[in-house]
Amino acid sequence: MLNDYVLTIISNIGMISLIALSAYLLLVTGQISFGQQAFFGISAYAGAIATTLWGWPFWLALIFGSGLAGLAAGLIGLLTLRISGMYFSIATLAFAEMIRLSLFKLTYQIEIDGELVGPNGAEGFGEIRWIFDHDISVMEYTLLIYGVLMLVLVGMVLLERSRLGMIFRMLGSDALLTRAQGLNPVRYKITAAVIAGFIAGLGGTLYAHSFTYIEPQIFNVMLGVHSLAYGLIGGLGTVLGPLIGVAIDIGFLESIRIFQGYRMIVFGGLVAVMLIFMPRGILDEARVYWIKAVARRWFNA
Amino acid sequence: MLELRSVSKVFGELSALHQVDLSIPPGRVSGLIGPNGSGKTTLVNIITGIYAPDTGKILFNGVDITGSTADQTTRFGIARTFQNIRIFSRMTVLENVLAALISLNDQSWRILRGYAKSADDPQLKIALKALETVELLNEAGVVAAELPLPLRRRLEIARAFVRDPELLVLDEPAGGMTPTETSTIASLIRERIAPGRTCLVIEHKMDLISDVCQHLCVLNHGEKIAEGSPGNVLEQPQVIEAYLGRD
Amino acid sequence: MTDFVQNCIDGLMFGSGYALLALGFTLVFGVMKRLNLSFGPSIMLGAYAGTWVYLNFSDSAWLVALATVIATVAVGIYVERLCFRAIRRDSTIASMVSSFAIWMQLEEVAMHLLPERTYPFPAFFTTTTIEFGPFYARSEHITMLLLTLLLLVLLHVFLFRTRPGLALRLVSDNPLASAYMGINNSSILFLAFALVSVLGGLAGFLILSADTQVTPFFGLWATFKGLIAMMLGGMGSLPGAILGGLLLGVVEANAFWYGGAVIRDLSAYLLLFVMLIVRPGGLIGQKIVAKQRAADERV
Repeated sequence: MLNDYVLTIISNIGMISLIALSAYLLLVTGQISFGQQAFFGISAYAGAIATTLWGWPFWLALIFGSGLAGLAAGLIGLLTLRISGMYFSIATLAFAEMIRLSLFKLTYQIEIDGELVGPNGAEGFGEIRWIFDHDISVMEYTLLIYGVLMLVLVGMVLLERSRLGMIFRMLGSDALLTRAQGLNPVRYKITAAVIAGFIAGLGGTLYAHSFTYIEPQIFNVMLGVHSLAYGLIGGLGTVLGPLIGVAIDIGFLESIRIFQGYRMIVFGGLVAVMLIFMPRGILDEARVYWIKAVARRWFNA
Repeated sequence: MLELRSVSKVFGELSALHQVDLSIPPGRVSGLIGPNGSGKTTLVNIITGIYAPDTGKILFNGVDITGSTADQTTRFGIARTFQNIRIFSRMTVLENVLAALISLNDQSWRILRGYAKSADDPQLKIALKALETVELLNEAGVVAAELPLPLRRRLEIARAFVRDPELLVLDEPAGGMTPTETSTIASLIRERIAPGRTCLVIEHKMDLISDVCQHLCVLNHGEKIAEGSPGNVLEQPQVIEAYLGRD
Repeated sequence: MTDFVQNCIDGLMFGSGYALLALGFTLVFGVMKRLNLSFGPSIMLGAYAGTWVYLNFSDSAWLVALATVIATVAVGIYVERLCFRAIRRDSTIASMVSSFAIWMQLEEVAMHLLPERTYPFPAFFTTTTIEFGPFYARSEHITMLLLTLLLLVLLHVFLFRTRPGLALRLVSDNPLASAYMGINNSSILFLAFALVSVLGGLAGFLILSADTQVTPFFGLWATFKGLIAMMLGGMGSLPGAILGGLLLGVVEANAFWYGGAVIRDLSAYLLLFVMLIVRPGGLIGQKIVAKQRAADERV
């Protein structure tokens, strides 16, 4: 029943959800980043290099790639501390493009079994053979992806309920007011950036090993704007929001033949319309409160 | 308690404050008044760390806090409300008040712990008590954006005093309110907020000022023109002139 | 050294095209405090309309230019209605994101209208090379530079010598006050968009006819170049847009000469990134940033 085609869609939803959650986290803290694809890409390359060229075990490569992404994100967070709003967004865009272009120049090849393996600039990085070498089926890898996704979701739900999560939302609502409550935004902005970068990184390494071939062009602005759009459509009130956005795009629009070739027209239009009528998405904060109130009444009855 | 010495602030070509000296006595409600554009808001912003003065010093309980940022001044014990009301509009009333209490904890690991959920959490009790004082207990679960103006002001006031600050700064607490609403706010301040606390109220509505303040300071064109008890100050010719203009 | 100067000459000429694009961005930002990220794609669709006319109707460069401008204006109005007018006054960022989403939409529309990758665009000018001393310049670039200067003069006259231009400048400076003076902000917005679309269409025409071809990547390219040039000069500043465009042109020309295409594009983004971090107000300065910050923190 679950043939490879369906499984591929499901795994794509899982991996893209990670970068969507990454953009979502920053949106919640009030920062609009057009550049999460940079961390997705850094981790994709780093993780793939670790397994393919250095022979590292997968879990180590995953942590390595994501950690590197998180670090880079923290660095960018530090550099962009003094700028906000539009300036910040354009800066993230500029950074992401710098990363993408730098990947065109990245050549690092090693000879393995008589063949040259490794990233080769514009030619990309192919033969990321980990799943073949270890006989992992599509189903097993999909489960791995969702295992990671579940861990991230649990983490984010806990974060949402914690004081740190509340501080993030306060920052997103009114940074000056947050300061007036005795909190210095700096450490929280950087923390959010690092966590978001790490989560995008998880998606990146998983992606590289799933597709077995990556090239710089993949990590472009299109990917970045999509990650942002998922949260904006699905809703910024809950982690389910970006997941819904991803499901609508990949699960619905991309899979159904009718939309073939018109996906962007529909998706782009959808974002624009949502921003007019429901600027914080379907499941925005107000709606989430309402759902919780209804649920509470149900359970008490 | 709070002392300003020779504080000046210039914005581009506009001299907003010029060599202002004033002191705010502890345990009483002081008022800062003056016509529009006299520099009241600038003064308050400097006291609460929104920006630093160009010259001069600010001493809080004898400690020099000049140039502190807004989060630092709050941690020193100064809390405020805003002229055009700033609340976390997407959060509930209760959460708004709880938000004010977050930084009271040591912020390392505890930051990851859930915020006040269980009924016996001390912070929850403090927050509910604050809401009760401003009579917003029934609205605890309402999303702040849905509150009408007078209730929003009360929420802001609750949020400001829930930390039991040493100095509570209320910036135009009656702004935009009808005379009835103004007098409700005035009694709220006079009876429930002010006792045992040092407050600084910025206002240009005289009815609230005379109802609530025991000490007044008058600004005009960025300079202090009078300071003292209300009866005294309001009689002075330069004060009357500032408000009514020269004949 | 000769190379460097030659590069600078090339850079200045090409930079004039960037300056025009930057003007489009900066005018919209000046009036509305918002970024229109669909600017490039709307010009591209305009150019496609021009191409269509070229392929099916006539060779006349004037007609193609007209078609380009009209189509750009049409798309500009669509973007203005959907992404700018419909969104609340204070949600400036929402407009930016919305226009970025519409960029995706416009690109796909372009892909459908003209499915092949590259199309010929009429050359408005003949290609000759003019030499002076050890340096040379291509005639189409010189023409582009001269026409850009002409457009700048016309723009200046419009903004400073006509009543609609005055209204536009007033709204840029203080939208609230202008509303009180009876200036209809919505119609000024519309005017700004129309003006900017005309500028954009002409800029696109000039750039593409110097290049004699149009590809689907033009949309994104034009947006980024215009954006970078604007930010280098300072958002909302007209002289800034020009300076920024020229600076970008010079930097790119040299980077390309010494490093290649990738290094050229990288340098552009690096310059933008550094500028944003160090001096977000751009070459012109911090007044814009300070004004915005003051507005954000109005307490």
